[in-house]
Amino acid sequence: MKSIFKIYRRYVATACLLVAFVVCINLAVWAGYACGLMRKQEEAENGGMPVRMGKYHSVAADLTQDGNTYVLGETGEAVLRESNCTFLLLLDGAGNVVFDWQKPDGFPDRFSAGQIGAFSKWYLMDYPVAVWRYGEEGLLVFGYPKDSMVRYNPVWRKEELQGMLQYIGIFVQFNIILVLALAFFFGYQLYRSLKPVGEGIDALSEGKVVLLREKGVTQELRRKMNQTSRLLERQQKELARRDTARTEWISGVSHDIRTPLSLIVGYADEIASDGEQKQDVRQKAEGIRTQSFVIKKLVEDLNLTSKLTYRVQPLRKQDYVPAIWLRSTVSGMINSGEIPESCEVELQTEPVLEQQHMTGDVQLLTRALQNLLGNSVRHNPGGCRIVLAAKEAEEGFCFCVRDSGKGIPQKVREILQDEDTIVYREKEQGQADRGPHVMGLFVVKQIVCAHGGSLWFEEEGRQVWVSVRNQREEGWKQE
Amino acid sequence: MEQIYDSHILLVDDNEQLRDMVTGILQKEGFRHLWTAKDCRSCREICRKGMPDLIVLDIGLPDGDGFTLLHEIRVLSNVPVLFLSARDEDSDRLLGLGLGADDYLTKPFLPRELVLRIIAILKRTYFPAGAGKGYRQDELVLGSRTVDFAEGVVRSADGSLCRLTAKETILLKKLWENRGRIVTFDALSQALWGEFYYGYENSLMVHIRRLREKIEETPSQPQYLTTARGLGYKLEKGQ
Repeated sequence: MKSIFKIYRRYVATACLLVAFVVCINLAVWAGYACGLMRKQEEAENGGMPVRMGKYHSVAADLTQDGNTYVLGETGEAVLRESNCTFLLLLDGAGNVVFDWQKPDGFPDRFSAGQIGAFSKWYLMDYPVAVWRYGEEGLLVFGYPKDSMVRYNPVWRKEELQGMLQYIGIFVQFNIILVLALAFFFGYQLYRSLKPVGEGIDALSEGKVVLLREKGVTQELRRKMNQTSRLLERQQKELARRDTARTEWISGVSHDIRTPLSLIVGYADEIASDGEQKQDVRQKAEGIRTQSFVIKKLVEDLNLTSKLTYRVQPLRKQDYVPAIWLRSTVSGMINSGEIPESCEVELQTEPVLEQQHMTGDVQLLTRALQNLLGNSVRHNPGGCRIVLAAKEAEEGFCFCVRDSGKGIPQKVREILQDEDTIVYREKEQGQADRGPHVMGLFVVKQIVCAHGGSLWFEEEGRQVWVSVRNQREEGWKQE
Repeated sequence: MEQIYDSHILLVDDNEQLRDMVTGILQKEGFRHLWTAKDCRSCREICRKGMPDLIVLDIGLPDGDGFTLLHEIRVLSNVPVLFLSARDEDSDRLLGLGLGADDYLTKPFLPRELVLRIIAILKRTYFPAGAGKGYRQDELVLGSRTVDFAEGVVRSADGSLCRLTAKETILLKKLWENRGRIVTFDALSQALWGEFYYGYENSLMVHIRRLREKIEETPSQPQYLTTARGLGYKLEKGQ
């Protein structure tokens, strides 16, 4: 199913976009944070030095030597307090404590070079400390409260540090590729799992039965699909049963009505041809006889339209030559009196139709042509001129029935030209306007559709055109 | 049986009113020996006692169907059978005729049509030489002229003879068989030249013209052999 693959493609594309989005967001946040730090740093710089270094400088500047003693001014002390310093030591070149401020108990008065080297990088008796050069040989040691700072002194080889920058790029790329590969993989797994479901939906839309194995991540979906399929199958069977019942019922009525109609026609004919009866009685009997045949025709049309609608009537294909078929049908109608002498029929066929070999259900096509010509006759009781013209058309032929009457009304044309109307129905019950009765022409449309053709009107309904396609290699066309 | 109307006709139909009506129609027409049966069983009994000259048979009967009954009848006799049924499917019509029925008429029907078909079957079966009511099968009267198919000539009122060619005879017979009805160019051409008649349309016109010269008083204004424009020709019913 293509749509499932489309879903998979979209899923992967979405994953790519997400990765790109997250990377961009990260870069933006880091860039923003770095800019913020730099700005803050710039704002806080004092004398070209960072804040912390500025403070050390201030304290060093405020610590003055008076003979052998050192004095820390108020400003320096204030800075120390402000900086949350715990203590301050000043060591001379030999490591002796020559000045202290709040030196903790237990601190020695002298520090060896090893001790100085150790605490300058790490801690002085668990106090995090910072050192600042004082004078030529002195060293100021700033102590802070225990556990208030973490000291970390990384040492990188220059090559490693340069390589690390490259590795970061590769690492990021690798991560992106990994994320995408995982997206592809899991997407494909989902696609594989959804594919049978998609195929099942396709099959359902074509009215086929679906039975999927209920397993995997789509197990629940497949189970529901199988349930739906079973439900649809049941409904289809029910519909088919109902359609068959309806068609059989109509067919039964069509059959059963014939015997009573025979009696009506027989007795009406007897009265109509009885010379002893009054003229008006004979005319009425004649009317009953004529109308009985109209009822017969209507019932036949109803039966046929029902069969065509529910596809009970398959195409019984046989070969025919259009021109011969047209002549035969028209002659038959004239001979049987269906076309009375008051109606003049002119047949115009292109010579090519004399040799064109077609395949189709000739009986159904004959019925369609009979209905069209009969329509012209019925709506022109005073007689009319009917022209039946036929010409070659794509994959078949088309013919036109034109009469000198007023043409087929707009309402009827609208109903017949509605492409969606393939089932004959009157308007809903209870509506005042029940619409025109078009069953005869509707049967024509159904027959023509069954032959892959179409029905259309020209000259405001005075011309009815019908196209018929060759059914040599085609089956039933009606949807 | 000296006349058509002496024929014994058996009507088999389960509808009593229809039986009465058809019987009445046939009686009015002059048929005197009419039997009726409401089902297969009564039909078999009547046939065993004495086979009728023609059976008008319905298909849907209470104790069986007309097709099976016809099959049984055919074992005993070749009596002509006309199916009179409400079934109008082509398959039923073909089945009935295929089983050996002589005709098939669907309900509702015009009484006159039923009578004519019955007469036609009886004539064909029992009076092939045209016995009864001065009927002659090999003679066609067209105004003052008479076509004698046995001799293949057209006789004028003054006694002169005009010989018909073989093609003209076939043509005229075909038209005569369908007298009063249009016979298409195709049906006529097929009768003359068989299945592969395409291209003979002009020859057909020539034959028609020559035929008119022989049977019409004024060939340019034919009274009997008329043209149905675009369709074919028709031999008008005589007076």
